[in-house]
Amino acid sequence: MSGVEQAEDKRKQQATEVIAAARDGGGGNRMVIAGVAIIVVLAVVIGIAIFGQHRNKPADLPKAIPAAAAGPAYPVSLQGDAIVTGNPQAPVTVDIYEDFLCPHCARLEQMVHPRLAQAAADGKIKLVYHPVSILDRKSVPEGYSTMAAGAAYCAANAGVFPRFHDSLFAAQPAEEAPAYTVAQLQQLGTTLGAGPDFAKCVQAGAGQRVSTATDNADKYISGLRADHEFGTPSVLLNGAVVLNPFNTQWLDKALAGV
Amino acid sequence: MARLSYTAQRGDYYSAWVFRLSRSVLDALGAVVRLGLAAVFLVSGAIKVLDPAQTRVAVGGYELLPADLVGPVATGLPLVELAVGTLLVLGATTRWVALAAGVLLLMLMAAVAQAWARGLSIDCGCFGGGGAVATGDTRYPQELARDAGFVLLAVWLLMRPRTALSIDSWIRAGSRSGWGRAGHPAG
Repeated sequence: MSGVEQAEDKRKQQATEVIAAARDGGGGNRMVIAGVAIIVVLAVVIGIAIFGQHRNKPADLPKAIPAAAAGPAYPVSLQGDAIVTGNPQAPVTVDIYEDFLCPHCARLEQMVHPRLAQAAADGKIKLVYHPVSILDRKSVPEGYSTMAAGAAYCAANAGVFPRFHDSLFAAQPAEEAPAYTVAQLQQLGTTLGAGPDFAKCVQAGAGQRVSTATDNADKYISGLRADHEFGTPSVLLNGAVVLNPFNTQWLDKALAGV
Repeated sequence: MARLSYTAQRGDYYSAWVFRLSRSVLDALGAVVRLGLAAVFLVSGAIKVLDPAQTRVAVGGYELLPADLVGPVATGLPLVELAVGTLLVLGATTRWVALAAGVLLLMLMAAVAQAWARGLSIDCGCFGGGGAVATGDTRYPQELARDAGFVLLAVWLLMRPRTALSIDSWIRAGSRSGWGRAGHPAG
């Protein structure tokens, strides 16, 4: 390329740039266009994101925990950390270890509770509930499992355990979502007919007691199991671990002879 | 441009060619860096936005913020990540966005480091997940190393924000001033 050709190229290029600049009205226009485009794109992205956040919010919990319908009436007594219901002298004993936040526990309750409650009311079985807290870190704020388990003890003392227990499982809060508050648990108990001591008892909490009961349950159940694991729900039939409580044949068997 | 023409007039075609080539290669490489960092922020932001409850658990897991602030941070952090990612995709005000990305990454690394130092057992929740994990299931060194890699990408863009396929370069093509001096490489 000769020097003349280079100079010619350069002139052409400069001319093109001048024309382009005139057409855009200079660089200022590009900045305005880009600025508007960026704001629009950002607004769309953030808008979609906020929409997504709202749509994925778990369903809001009811303000008042709905009280479950009264089932068959059975006697309840608190013995240590066990809530003993039904007939203490019955030949069949069913132990259920559950966490009030555990979704599988709620599912199991739905599957077997009506029959267990009826059998307990008929005096055919001794049905023992062991509220434990293994999912404290899964609620928002943390600690619902312990709070609910403690409140279950209070409900047993206040004579409203069966419906209190059923209500908490029927309207169970989701994991990793807002859970019920102390005030809501107090209100549920009061609605079910608990006296003024109940609210005080729930307020006081039972953190140490629930945590000790959970540790004991962990040691006891994991000692019974070949895999040395403890989880909820755990079910014992006459002291022996029911490996798959969701296969309700264990219940058929338990109730067959009584 | 001025410097290029000057070099060419002196007849030093070879160095002009090398300069032009290396510049366009670096611009293209810069675009890859920019889009890579954009993907990091868009993916992590999107995962968090789609699971707000999990994000709250992840933010709470660091045990750094008062309870009242966990919610707002869990809501805002993914939005900031998405905004940074979007601006990086567009290549707009790249140097400033790279600075913001780097600062954000360093803050997140500091949060992970303090969790490690305090002996918390959490997952960083950087790309979903998060919250408590079993002792021994933590992966702090890996999480910090990965974030450090992302910081390097941000540092590249901070040092050399000029990239191909960007709004910055489109504006530069129409004007010598661009966004103030922010979009220009040094020199």
